[in-house]
Amino acid sequence: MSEVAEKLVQYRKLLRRDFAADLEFGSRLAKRVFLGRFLFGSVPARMVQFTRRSPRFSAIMQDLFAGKQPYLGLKKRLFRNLNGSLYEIGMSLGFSRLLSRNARA
Amino acid sequence: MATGARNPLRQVGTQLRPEDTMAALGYYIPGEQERIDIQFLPGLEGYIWVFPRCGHLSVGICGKGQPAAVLRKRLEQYLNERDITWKGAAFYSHLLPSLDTGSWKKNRVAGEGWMAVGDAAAWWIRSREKGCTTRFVRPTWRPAPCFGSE
Repeated sequence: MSEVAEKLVQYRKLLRRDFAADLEFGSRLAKRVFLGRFLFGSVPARMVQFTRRSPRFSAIMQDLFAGKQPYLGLKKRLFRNLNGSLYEIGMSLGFSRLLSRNARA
Repeated sequence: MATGARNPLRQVGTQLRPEDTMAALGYYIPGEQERIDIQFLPGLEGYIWVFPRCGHLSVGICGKGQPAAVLRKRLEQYLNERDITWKGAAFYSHLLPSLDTGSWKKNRVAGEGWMAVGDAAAWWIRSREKGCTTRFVRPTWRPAPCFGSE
């Protein structure tokens, strides 16, 4: 392999390690995020609801939009926070029901 | 080379096919707000944003696989519904690289005597509407997104 060709391969490897792999993974996620469905609703609608109800999920979304959360580690972080997020969502739903019941009484 | 996405040089840089691009357009509207707004729309692989800037708001929409005219209409409808006056505001429009997964594998980023950077190499972070160079700058301002979904 010529020296230039070798350098090109090396450069592509460096790019991939630095951020290209992340962007490629992001392109795979995009369709699912924007057009996918989750729990009988659209993924964006669920994302908005979860963001409103769970501070943990909200922090993940903030980091994602601020560029602090790479796409590659997103799934892992979502799963790591799953229990906490679901707990917060459940509590928030239960609490709001309790409030509306008290308001009606 | 940093020609942007509309690269007139055929032999160098990312070779963008129509399915590897998306349109982004919007208005610079006088105004202020302390949050950013993100609005998802049904069936759109993209979103509307309202970003506060110095002395004005950058309001825009991006979407993959949608003609610019359709995107513009959706954005203007969104602005009308929120009583945001856009008539007379400065309009902007860009072609953005948004590579399909398969295109990343054969992305032409360098060759003998040249290397492409920025949009010319399709380095684009979809979730932030920013080129990747900003990735190397650690943001001190942490935006609090205000998400919306129809």
